[in-house]
Amino acid sequence: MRTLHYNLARTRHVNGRAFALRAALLALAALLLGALAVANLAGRSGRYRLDREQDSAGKRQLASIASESGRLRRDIAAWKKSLGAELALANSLIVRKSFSFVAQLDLLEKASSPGIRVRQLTLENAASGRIAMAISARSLKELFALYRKLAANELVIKSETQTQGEYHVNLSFKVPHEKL
Amino acid sequence: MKNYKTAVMALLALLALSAAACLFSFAYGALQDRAQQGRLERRAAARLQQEEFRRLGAEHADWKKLPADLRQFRDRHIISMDDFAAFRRELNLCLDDNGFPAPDISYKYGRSRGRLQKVTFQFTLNGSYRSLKKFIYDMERKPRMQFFETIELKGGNDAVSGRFAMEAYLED
Repeated sequence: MRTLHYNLARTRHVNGRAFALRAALLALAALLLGALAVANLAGRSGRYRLDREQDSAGKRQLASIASESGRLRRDIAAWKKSLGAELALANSLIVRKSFSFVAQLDLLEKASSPGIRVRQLTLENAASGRIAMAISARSLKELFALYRKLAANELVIKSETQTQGEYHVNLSFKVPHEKL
Repeated sequence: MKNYKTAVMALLALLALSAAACLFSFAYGALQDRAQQGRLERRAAARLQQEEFRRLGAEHADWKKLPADLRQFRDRHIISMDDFAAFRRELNLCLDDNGFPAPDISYKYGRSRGRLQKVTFQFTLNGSYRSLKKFIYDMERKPRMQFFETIELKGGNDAVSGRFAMEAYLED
């Protein structure tokens, strides 16, 4: 098959100056793209090498941390086994020693008004222990004022007896150790 | 004419090559960014591991100090068997200081727990509320490991009766 070539130029001569300008633009674009690619690759490869070095140093450090952590855990487990019971006993003694009965009495003195008479009081050295009281009140007003003050402390009124002009109550309440 | 064509072909080939290189560098960058993301995640995990290691080191240091701390605790706060007589004299002195005559005190020796032996003792005091409270305060202030277990106060007409149960811990 025969191929036909058409030349649509007005003249048969190439305009040398226009060609040179376009060729220069083309070459410049090629150079710019090439430079962009080189700059991009060079910058990234520098960072990549640095990252890899940091990674391998980090991996070595992590391996040493893992082996050292194992040693520390074994030591701690051995100490827990040999000293754990003594430590628990010492801690429980410290908690009980720090329990203050005087602070509980102070709290009761503040809660009770002059019209309240405490007939019997039982205090227990325990973080969850309850204070049990048998009291007499001269008036309902004073009695309920005491109830209101103790209401926030899980107040339990076991019995209340009204006699001539007096109210006899058996009650108990809880004072968290940290409140004292 | 042929020279121009060759020059155009060469320039177009150069441009295509540059564009391909540029595209490759961007694709390579995207892959690097993805790899970098993975590295950042690994580094964050490593930082957590280092933090955990620091905490473990602090815990290890605490446990290392513990035998000495326990020894110090025993020396300062646990009553030795030899000191128990002195402790009982101290109790009588404290009672006397607060105006209470020496009461009957019953002592019970419990089983040994490790190196420690628990002793419980009970007594009853009669006096003013103020004196009883002062006695409780004085006993609570003592640094040795003795403390009240229960206290029962009963108000009478002119005095308060206090029933005390105490514990002390002795070292063999």
